[in-house]
Amino acid sequence: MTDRTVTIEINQQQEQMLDRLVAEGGLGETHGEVIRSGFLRFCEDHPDLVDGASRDDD
Amino acid sequence: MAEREVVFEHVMEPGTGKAVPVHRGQVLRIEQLGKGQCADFNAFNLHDYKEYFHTGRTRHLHGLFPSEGDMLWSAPPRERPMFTIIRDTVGTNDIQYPRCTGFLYEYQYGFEQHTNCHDILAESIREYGLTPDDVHDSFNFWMHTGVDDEGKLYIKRMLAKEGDHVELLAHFDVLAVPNVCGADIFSTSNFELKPLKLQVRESTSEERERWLQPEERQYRNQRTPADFKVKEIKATRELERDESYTVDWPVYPIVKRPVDVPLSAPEYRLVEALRAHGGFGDDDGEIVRHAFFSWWIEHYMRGPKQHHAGE
Repeated sequence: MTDRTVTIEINQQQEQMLDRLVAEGGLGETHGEVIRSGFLRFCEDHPDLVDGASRDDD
Repeated sequence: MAEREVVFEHVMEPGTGKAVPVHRGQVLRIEQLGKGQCADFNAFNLHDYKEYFHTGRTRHLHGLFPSEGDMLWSAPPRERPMFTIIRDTVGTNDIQYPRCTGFLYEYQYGFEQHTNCHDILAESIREYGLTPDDVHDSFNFWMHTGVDDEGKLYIKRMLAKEGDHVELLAHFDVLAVPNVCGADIFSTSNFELKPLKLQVRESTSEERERWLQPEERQYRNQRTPADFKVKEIKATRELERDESYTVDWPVYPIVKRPVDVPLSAPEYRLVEALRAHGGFGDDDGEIVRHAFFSWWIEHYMRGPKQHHAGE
């Protein structure tokens, strides 16, 4: 469920990198989904940085 | 050539240097003959002197104090490994300080004439038709340096002793140019100039198998003159505008497009947590961008990461 949409601007070089990640599979079908996946994985990799934020409930 | 066969030997006395060809697969050894002497070092592609050693890329890829296992890189846009340091019995080298110059000794200390690495390197490469303008920032073997809490450089006491040595394996044909650093009024060489021994020898099969890199470029962006729009070396000192010049930027214009990133409420709380932590930017887009690209660096980038997310 999408509650918030965060918009970021991406240039054509960064789009190439996102295209490769889409093609790799597993992260999403669109650039937005890939960015979301990378963002969430970053947070999982660094629990110390998001200490206190729970994703388990609303 | 037999393994370890010595093809060149020379003692560099204080006040001198030496330009010596080192061919692909050969090893240049620099050895201490006294109690610790810094060797400044320049290097050129033997077949194209415009490719030369670059402290910046070497520093970027191997840090402030390169040592055994690290490589000496050529300048952009060539950016190939020129040498690998295959032995280093001390491990204190510097690539932050530029070579000392006549100007430095006059400006800082009032010497009208003093041994200095720039002039010694320039005289050394003159043997091959190169000029003082071709001397470049040096790799400073055994120069023991540090960076203080304010980010300023300083020179520590030289640690090398008699018999200490470095060995460099050449990845392509190189004109190597070491010199006895002329600094006798800094602790660079403990306030005394001493000789250094040079030797070029053939490598062993084990050394080649372990260390030797391909001679050919491995990446399209390791460019050669064949890639240049202007392929000839400029032969006049005067700079004049090329009236036929029309601009042709490699990547231009840079076009940005918005991308929507859908987040659930719990996921958005992670954005707020990163904002509270600080170091990721202020608005939602900056925070998601910083976190996403940090993840990408951590998982996809090759080589030293040099990135601390959120700092």
